[in-house]
Amino acid sequence: MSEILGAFEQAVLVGVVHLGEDAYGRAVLRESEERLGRDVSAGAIYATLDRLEAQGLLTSRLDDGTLARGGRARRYYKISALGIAALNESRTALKGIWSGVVWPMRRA
Amino acid sequence: MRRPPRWAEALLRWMLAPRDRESIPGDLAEGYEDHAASHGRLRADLWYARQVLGILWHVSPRSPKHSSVTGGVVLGLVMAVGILVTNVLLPVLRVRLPESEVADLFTWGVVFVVILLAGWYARGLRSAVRAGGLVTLIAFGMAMLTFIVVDNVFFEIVRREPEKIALFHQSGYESMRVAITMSQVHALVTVLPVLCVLGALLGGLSGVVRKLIR
Repeated sequence: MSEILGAFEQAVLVGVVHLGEDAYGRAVLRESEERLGRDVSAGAIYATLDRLEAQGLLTSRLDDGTLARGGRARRYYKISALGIAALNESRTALKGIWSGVVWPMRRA
Repeated sequence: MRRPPRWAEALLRWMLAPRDRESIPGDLAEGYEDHAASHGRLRADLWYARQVLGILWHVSPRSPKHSSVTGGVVLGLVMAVGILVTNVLLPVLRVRLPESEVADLFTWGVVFVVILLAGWYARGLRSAVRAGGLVTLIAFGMAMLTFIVVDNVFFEIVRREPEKIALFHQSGYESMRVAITMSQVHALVTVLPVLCVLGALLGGLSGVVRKLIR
């Protein structure tokens, strides 16, 4: 990866990692809301999941649905080796950007 | 199990790509159930409608963001409404717009910019051409059709306009209503295709410039 992932993409990817086997659309949305500390629209989550999958950072599979969703299948997401590498790079890059700066910053 | 509004579910299914037609409506059905249980049915309906609109914009292949056809249709409709407001609604409300060459230039400038934008945001040269042509077709086609209807509905007012009287005398028709309608239909059939070709060229040009810049 040559570019650092955006905060939203990182939240989604870390959410998928944290959820493990339970990482389907709605669960990822709730996890991302918690991580970002704000409401997130379902459209933004699905667009991001689609993009990350197209970039090869995620893989997905369909599985059986439940009664609460009218028996409709769930799409489960899993982070790929490329996704893990991208998260690691982003984390390293952020640490590099902040190195030498005392945090939280105070006014001069 | 509580079900989301049927119209919203149908809209959601229509706009999603086949691969998402099970999983995304299923996820939203779960969310609807949670919202209905904690906030009541009305707020759950509103939440659902908001999510559907968000998906329409961000995810759907039919979104103006992803489809030059939808983008062209939306921009064309916006322009058609603008043309009708300035040419029909404001005169009916007796609001007078400044009539000058500068005002005309401004109007055509807006038309140009909208067509260029449609071409700019389309994906690929073919889409840019299609978007430019579609914007022009819908904007001017709708405006022309509406003028035909409006001139027929308000014929008693229209027939007193000097240019319409002159048009009637030059036409050779026995009925003034027929003369006015036929001149508009003639413009629709002859001028609109030319405008659409120009719009498509302009959209394509915008697409080419974007490709060269990036």
